[in-house]
Amino acid sequence: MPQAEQEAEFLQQTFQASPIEPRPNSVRQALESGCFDLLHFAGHGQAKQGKIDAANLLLEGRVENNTYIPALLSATTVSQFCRLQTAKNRPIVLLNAC
Amino acid sequence: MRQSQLPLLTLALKPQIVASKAESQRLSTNGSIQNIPQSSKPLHQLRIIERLNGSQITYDYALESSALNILERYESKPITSERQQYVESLYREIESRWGSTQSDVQAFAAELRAFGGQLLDELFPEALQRQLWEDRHQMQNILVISTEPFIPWELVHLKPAGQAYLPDEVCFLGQLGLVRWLYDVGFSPESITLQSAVATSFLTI
Repeated sequence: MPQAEQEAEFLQQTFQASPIEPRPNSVRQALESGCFDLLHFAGHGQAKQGKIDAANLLLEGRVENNTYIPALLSATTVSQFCRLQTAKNRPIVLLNAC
Repeated sequence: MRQSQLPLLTLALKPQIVASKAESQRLSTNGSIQNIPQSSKPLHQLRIIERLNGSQITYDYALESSALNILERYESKPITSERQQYVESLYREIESRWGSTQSDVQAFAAELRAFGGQLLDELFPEALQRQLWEDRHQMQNILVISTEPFIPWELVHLKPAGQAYLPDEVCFLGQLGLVRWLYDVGFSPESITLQSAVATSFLTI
């Protein structure tokens, strides 16, 4: 996704944004900490028809034995761990996932 | 049929549908009780009854603890998907979370906590969530008797009622010494007899 790379470059140059390793643990820990003002995601997502609350963001997966194993960040993991809606901090989160 | 906390006997009632009231007749069933066990100490019991109403499933809960003076009933929100489909989706989700964490045990433990919090939100009504959370330190060795054997109740993660996110404290229902037991197999023994030390082997699963 070349446009996503351009978006990342723009955010780093304009806002001195820090990249997060695109793995579930790293993203979950960043979300749990709440120590940011803007989170920008550009990538892919998936959801089942009729169960939109079980949606996932696709992070950096891996290939094992010629099989691609996706790395997912689920909506439930975010809702169970993130404490973003506090009095002190309400960051902007932009999800650009197709 | 129960005596105190001990389930002693299950009577299966088989009603017959007749055309008119005049044709109705009294039916009877019977059973026998053998070896009534003695309970030496108060138990904390959570009974879970699955109810199917059309295509909807609900779970009735009865939480009973004489030591904590609790005798309450609760009902879950309805689950609209078919039971087997719902249970399969739970285990597929656990496998997916394991795959996503790339064999990182700590990351998987966090994913299991999220899964457990989600189960709590889906299956346990707020009043039961509150009761279990408030009494979690007093409620050890909880015995679950369930007509539903497939849902991983051990993975339900407790949290303060009404709170969206998990607490810092790790508190799976399984950590409360949860033991599952079934109806119709008598009451759980309070002790087991081992063979001689030489012949004894211990297995864990």
